[in-house]
Amino acid sequence: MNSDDHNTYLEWLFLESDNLLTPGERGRLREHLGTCDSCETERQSLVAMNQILKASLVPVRQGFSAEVMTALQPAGWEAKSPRTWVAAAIVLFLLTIGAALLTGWGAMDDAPALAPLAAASVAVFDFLQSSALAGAGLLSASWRGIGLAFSTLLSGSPWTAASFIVLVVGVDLLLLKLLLRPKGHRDSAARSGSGPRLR
Amino acid sequence: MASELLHLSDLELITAVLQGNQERYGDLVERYQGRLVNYLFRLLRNLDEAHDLAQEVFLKVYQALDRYDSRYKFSTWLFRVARNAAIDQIRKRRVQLVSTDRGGDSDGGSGTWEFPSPDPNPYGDLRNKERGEALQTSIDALPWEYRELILLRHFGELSYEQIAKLKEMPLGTVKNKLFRARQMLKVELRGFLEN
Repeated sequence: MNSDDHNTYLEWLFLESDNLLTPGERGRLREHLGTCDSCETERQSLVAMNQILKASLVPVRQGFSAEVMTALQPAGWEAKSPRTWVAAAIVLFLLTIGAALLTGWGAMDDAPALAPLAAASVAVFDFLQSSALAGAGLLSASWRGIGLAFSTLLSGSPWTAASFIVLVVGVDLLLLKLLLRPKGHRDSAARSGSGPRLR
Repeated sequence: MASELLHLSDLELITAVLQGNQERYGDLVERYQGRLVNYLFRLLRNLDEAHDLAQEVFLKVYQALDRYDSRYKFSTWLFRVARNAAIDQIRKRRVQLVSTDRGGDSDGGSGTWEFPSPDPNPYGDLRNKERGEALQTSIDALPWEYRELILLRHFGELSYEQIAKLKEMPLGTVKNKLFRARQMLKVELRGFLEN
């Protein structure tokens, strides 16, 4: 038997301990072990080593998984979970029911043109519409306010306007630099940070 | 119910967690805690630190669970996060060691190398302690890359394919290196293997 064969059998001994040999290879190995004392000795020491490794496993401390579960913080992705939508839907439903009861009572004196639930839906819709209009009004007022502030700033002294322009250009450059960072930098930052992601 | 959970794959458990069933994450923790703690224990050489870091890893993975890529095994991802966290911890420890200029006690050598022994005989305990220390010394004597492979295979119980993915190495290279690593470990342990 040449040494190449012998090395192959040695390698197979390790693969066998990992259950990675085919039945055919296993049979050939068994056959070889019957005739080769040195490989048989190798096998025995490999078995002993695996036993030592197995025996060295330490037990996990009592209640470890409970500790982990207690320490779990709400994750960002949980906000997207259906549970959140269920809660919102329940609130909307209760709101509608409440409004139905109120408008139902109110509508009893007037002509009962609409059923209480339909009237409630209209009322909730009106409420949402008014909220949206109020929000839009506030937003438009805010923009007008910002515009007024800018025009005041730019029409003031030329130095104020110049410093303002320098500030805006500086912030833009900083943003641009962050966006154009090489990919490697971003990856290493993610690796050392909290974003474990498989490539 | 418990036996039903045993048959749920990692992906099924993760899907359940992402759908709002947080308790299923506890099943994942139970499934991997032993392997993770043992892997980290051999890297950090301190059982308390290994538990703390394992907890940190599980918490970190939970936060990023929606980014889990199902083309890969969960265990590969988990051990990659654990490996990076352990390397960071070892680096921090080295910095502390240099800055405080103290001896080897920050190595965490707090008598935690013994094998868990059911043997009430004091000589049996002594033998276990010796074997535990010999194993750790032998593992520490390996070059870093070989040591890592031994730890991932024997303590993390990862398959060759998983180790190849985690280490970004061809499968054949993992097989060769693991073969050499185990041969070296066997040589280091020969005194105990002959007995």
